[in-house]
Parts: sequence; C-alpha cells; structure tokens
Amino acid sequence: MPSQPSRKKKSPTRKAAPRKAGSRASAKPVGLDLGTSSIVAARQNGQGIRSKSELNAFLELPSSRFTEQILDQNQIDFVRDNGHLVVFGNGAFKFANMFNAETRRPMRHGLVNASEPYAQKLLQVIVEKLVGKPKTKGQLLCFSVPAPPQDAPASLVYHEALMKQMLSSMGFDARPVNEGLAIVFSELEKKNFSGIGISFGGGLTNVCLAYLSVPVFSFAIDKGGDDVDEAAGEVTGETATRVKAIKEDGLDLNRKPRNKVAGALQIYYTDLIESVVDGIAEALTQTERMPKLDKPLPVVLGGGSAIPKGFAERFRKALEEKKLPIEIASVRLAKEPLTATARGALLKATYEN
Amino acid sequence: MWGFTHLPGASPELPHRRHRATLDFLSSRVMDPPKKLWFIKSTLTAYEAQAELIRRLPIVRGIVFHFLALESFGALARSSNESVIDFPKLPLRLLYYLRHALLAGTFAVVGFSGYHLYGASRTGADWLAARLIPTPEILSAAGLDFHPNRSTKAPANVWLVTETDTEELWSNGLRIDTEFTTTGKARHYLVFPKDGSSPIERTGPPVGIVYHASQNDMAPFAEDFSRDILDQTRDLIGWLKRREIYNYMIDRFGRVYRIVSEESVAIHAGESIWADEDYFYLNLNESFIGIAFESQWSTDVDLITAAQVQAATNLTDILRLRYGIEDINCVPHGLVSVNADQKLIGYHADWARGFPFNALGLKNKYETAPPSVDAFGFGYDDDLVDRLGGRLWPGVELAQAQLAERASKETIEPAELRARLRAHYEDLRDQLR
Ligand SMILES: [Zn+2]
Repeated sequence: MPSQPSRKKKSPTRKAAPRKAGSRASAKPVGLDLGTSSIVAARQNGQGIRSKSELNAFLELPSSRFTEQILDQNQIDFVRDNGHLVVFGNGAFKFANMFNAETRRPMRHGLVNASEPYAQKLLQVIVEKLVGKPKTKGQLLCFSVPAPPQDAPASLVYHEALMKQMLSSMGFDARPVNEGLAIVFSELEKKNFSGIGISFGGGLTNVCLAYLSVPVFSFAIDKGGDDVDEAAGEVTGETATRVKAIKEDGLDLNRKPRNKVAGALQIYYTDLIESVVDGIAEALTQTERMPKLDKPLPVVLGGGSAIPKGFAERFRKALEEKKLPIEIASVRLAKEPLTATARGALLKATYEN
Repeated sequence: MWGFTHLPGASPELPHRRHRATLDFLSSRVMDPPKKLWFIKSTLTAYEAQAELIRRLPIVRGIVFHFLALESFGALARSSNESVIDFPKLPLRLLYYLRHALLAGTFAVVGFSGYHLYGASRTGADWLAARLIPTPEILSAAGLDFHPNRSTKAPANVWLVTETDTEELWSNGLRIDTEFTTTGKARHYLVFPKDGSSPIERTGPPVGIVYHASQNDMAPFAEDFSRDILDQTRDLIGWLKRREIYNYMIDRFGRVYRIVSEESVAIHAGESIWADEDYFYLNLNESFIGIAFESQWSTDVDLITAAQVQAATNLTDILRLRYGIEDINCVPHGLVSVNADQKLIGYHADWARGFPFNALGLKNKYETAPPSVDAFGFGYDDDLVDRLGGRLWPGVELAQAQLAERASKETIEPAELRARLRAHYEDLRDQLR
C-alpha cells in the first residue's frame, strides 16, 4: 500500500465556523468554466446566479481603418496587436460568418493550445471581458480544469499552472476545480453531492463520480461535440456551418434521421456516448477502493454537446446495456447545460470564501 | 490488491459506510448549497485528521465521527440563520447537546487500553492498533514456520470427499464454500517459450498461483469484534463476486471461498511477469489462479492468522495436485506485479515481504531472481524501497548481478542490455494485444 502523508492533528473542538455571508460582500466570488469552445463566468446576483459567456475563439485581421470602422459599427470587440486587429469572443463568430473566414481557438481538447502564439493573451482578454478586474485583491475565483488526459498527464499540470498564473496576475485568488466535479456541485446538491457529473464539451468530455462531494474517480475522454460535427461534416461532405444548422434545427437522436447529415450525427453521437459509458465501466473496475454505495447514483449531463434532443435518453440506454457494477438512479440533462460547470465552480468558490 | 492502473485523481478516504449515512442524513438538513458543501468537507477533514488508531477501531471511530459531524453541524447552525438549517428534531438535537458526554464516554471506554498514547506518532498508533487488543492467534507471517521440514512437493493423495450445493469437503480437511461462486470468461492465454520460438496458445488449466492480500477494512481480531469481522468479510465477498476478482479468498477464520471458478479468468494480477524453466508468462490473470488472504498487508503490520495459513496450505496442496502446478509457479503478487509502461517492478507490493512460503510447503521465492528484472530489464523506484521498509527482497539484487555479468560478457553497458531486454518485453506484450 502506498504510504500516506503524515497528517497534522487538529483538536476537533477548535474549528472555524464558515464565514457569514457579507464578510467579503464587496468582492463576490467568481466561477469560471474555461471550455474549449466557450468560456462561461458565473456570479451571485441577489438570490440568483448570473452567468455570461463568450465563444473561446478569435480571428486575426490585417489592420486597416476601414476594417476598424466596420468592427466599430457592428459593435464587435477587438484588440490591436503588432499591426493586426484581433477579433475575439462572440464577435469573432459574428465576423467569421459575415466574411466567411475561419476562427482560431486558444484551447484544444480542453487545454491551452501550445502551438497557438496568441492563446494565452486571448484567453486573458476574453476572461477580462467576462469578469473584469477583481474589485479587491485576492478575490476568489474557481476555474474549471479537465481531468488529466490518460496519455499525457503532464500537459494538465502545465495548463493548470498557466491558467493559475494568468488569473493571479489579473489579481484573483485562483483555484482549480475538476470539470465533472463542478457539475456534481451545481446539479446534485439535493443528493448531497453524490453522483456522476459529466460535462460534454467541444473538445473533451469529463466524467467525475463523487460521493458526498469526495471524488472517487475522474477521467477525461479526448472526444467532444466538435469531433462529432467534424466527423459528420467529413463523411457527408457538408460544411461545418451546415452541420451546425442541422444540429440546431431539431436533431432528435431517438428518431429516424431525416437526412444524411442527421444520420451521420446520430452515428457519431452514439460513438461519443459509448466511449464515455465504456470509460465509466472501466474506471469502476480500476478504482481500487470504490466505496460501498448505499443507494443508486444519479447521473447528470452538462455541456453544450449534451443538448441535442434525445441525448440523455440515449445515454441512459447505453448505461443500461453496459450493466455496470453500480446501480444508476436516473440520467438527466443539467438544468442549464451550458452554465452548469461555471455554476459549480462558483459554488466551490463561495464555499471556500 | 488487484492489479490495475491507478486512475489520476483517485479517491481520498471516505469514512465507514454507516458513518456516511449519518453524514448524508445531516447534510440533507442544510438548505444552502455552499454551506452544505462546507459542512460535508469540514466533517471529513476533521475525521481524516484523527489518528489512524481511532479510524481503525470500529466502535471508537463511530463515536468520534458522530461527534465531529455534530460539531460541524453546530458550528454551521451558530453561524447561520434559521432558514439555512433545518435543525433536526428532538433526538438529534439531544444528541448534539450530549456530544461531549459521548466523547467522554469514548475516552472512558478506550482509556484503559492506552488512549493516553493517542498523541503518539502515526507509527506509534499503528503499533498500538496491532497490539492494543490481546490477539494471541495473530501471527506475524515473517516469523511463521509451521512445518519447517515439509517437502516442497505436493502431497500425492488428496481427494474430494463429499460435495453439496454450497460446500466441498476435501480429504485434507479443507472445506471450500461454493455458495458465492461465479463463472467468468474461460481461460485462454499465450505462453512464451524461453528459447525464443513463437508463443503457444493454451486454453487448458492454470499453470500457477498468485497470492494476494485483499487490503479491505480490518477490525481488530478479537471476540468483541466478531460481528464486525463477519460483516467485513461479507462485504468483501460481495465486492469480489460482482467484479470477478480472485479465484479464492481465505477469510480470517480460515474459511475458504471460491469466488471465480477455477476454469474462469479472475481479475487479480493485472500487468505482471513470471517465468518457470521453460516459459515466460505475462499478465497472469488468464494463466494463474488468484488466492487472496483477507488481510491488510503493509510494511508495519503483517496480519495473518494461523487458521489462514493452514487453509492456504491445504488449498495450495489441492490445486498443485489437481493441475500439476510446479513449486516455482506459486508466487506472491508483489513479486510479479509491474508497471509495464514505466518498466518498474512492485507496482502492487502485496506480500513482497513476509510471505509464509515455508509454512505453505513452498520454496522461498524471495531468493529467486525475478524474471521482470533478470530477463526484461525492469527497474524499481525509491517509493517501492520505502514501501518495503528500506530493503527489497534478495532476488532483485541477484537478478541485477546476473544482468551486470551478462553485460560485461557481451562487453556492453548494462543500460544498453536493459534497453534491449525491455524492447523484447514490448515485443511479447504486443503479441498479447
Ligand atoms: Zn494483489
């Protein structure tokens, strides 16, 4: 058995109570979902939570007064860099559609894109647009990170350190939270944070099984919604835009496909779902000390790629067919799939505040 | 231990399952999500901070856990307004007010047996846990030597006497409980001739035995804990059966359970390497039978009962006779387990020291050069040395010496030879896929 680190002993009676709300009211904690395809920020707003999102993409344009004018007129965000104009966030998508250009991504498969020279700077610009500068120094911010990719665990360490450094340099007290665990935090509070949280991102799918908020296992699969779109586009010879349009125009994974793109999408979604279910089955057998579970576990699906109609139903069927060694209580889509990770990160930040 | 890669980000410690139920119950009373998270986390952290001793004694840990949970709950209640907490009805409220009395009770109960040593170091606590309760029947396997002159040949005559739906009786006295037996995938494996000729496919009987320690929770081995010991065994059996882990498990009273039928593959050895005179064996789940002692194998405390050793001896005899298993192929998990990607030995270290070879009528495999090092150039890391209390078994040294000699004969650097051997291993491993 691996040796355990020695623990400091603590008197059970001398324990700090959680800080009362309001002690740091001027600096509300922030939850941040750093996803491959979009970045989402969540904040407490009165009794509710307010979230904002920007696409995690940019576009580089040669600098010209004319271009700048167009950007200004259309209220599209940009920064100047080295004689170039860099259009970012939701504006990049708008502009790319207007001019039929391709956007670039600061992140790939859940991690900072090391081969993209603009990556870090753009991430900072987008985050700043979403959350602004911290009101007080050391304002708490929890940001999502994927589970370590099985083939290159070191790359996560690098990504996490880089993001932490970037957010700290902006003045935040930045702390990471596993993406799947964040879904458990935001969606399974009623179950006392026990269950399986899955975030289906653009470039990566993250899974975490937690029991009473303690992660039992978490892993990431190097497949996401972008891969589904791409593969469906490739086999049907359709453009990414058209694939996206069909996807958003009432694709139903449980109905007979209406055209070849819908058919291809069904095939690749099924493949994505099966990879995740296989991963869960494998993780369950590999985990050395799986706690004995007293009740069936709920499964919650979040992330943009889980939105197509019939996705949860498909997932439930795939789980049933796999006959896992644990009982599953239910499979459902997160209340707000696009903001579930950010809201979970916010919960962690609020609890640590 | 069963052999599988550890997942990144795997589990920290969760308390015992009865305590988790309490935590679950109390958590449901906290209405504010961040505060609920705080309550769960602070209870678990406080519990983890307790000495190993406390977390090992079933009754004591229960009382301490409940005390800590109520403490956290009280702290939360004091700092929040009524709408956040649905403060429990009378019985629990009473329990909360009485929590100090409960804890005092704990002190009284364990006080006589040395609770004042609670402040001792963790090692001290482990030592204490092993000795606190009088346990005349628990032996340190290292010093175990029942039949010092027993032959290492399997006895010539053991037979099945009677058989019911749930039990087999063997002529050497062994009873095998078959009530929980499950069947899995049939054995089908490759063996690699040492002369380099192409691998041979086999579907037949197992060629060897790998011994394990189950590493589950262990109550102290004493009369007062009989109920807990039985509960733990029952939990373990259920867990093993569902996952098809081990062919046999021997509980602490020496009862033998057949978990996965002998003809089927059980999960137990993961990535592993062994060899006899003629063949190399890779990933032994398919080719070796897995026998687990219900035991917490560790370097500080070796806990195995005389009844377990007797049962293991009888079971080993039966299996060796039945399948013609050679002595060389009866080996503990710690000596065969590897981290194949990093080319390290001792990935699982159960019984990498202290295995009672002698008592089981087996030759001491600690003296045998492990083929992982000898034939495939595997190394080890400091972590393994630490886990084994500062020293590896002598066979490793022997294998390294043999390797160095071979390198000098071929006038190449040992590192070069090792690289070549590792490449050979990768070739064999590829053929398994
Ligand atoms: Zn083992």
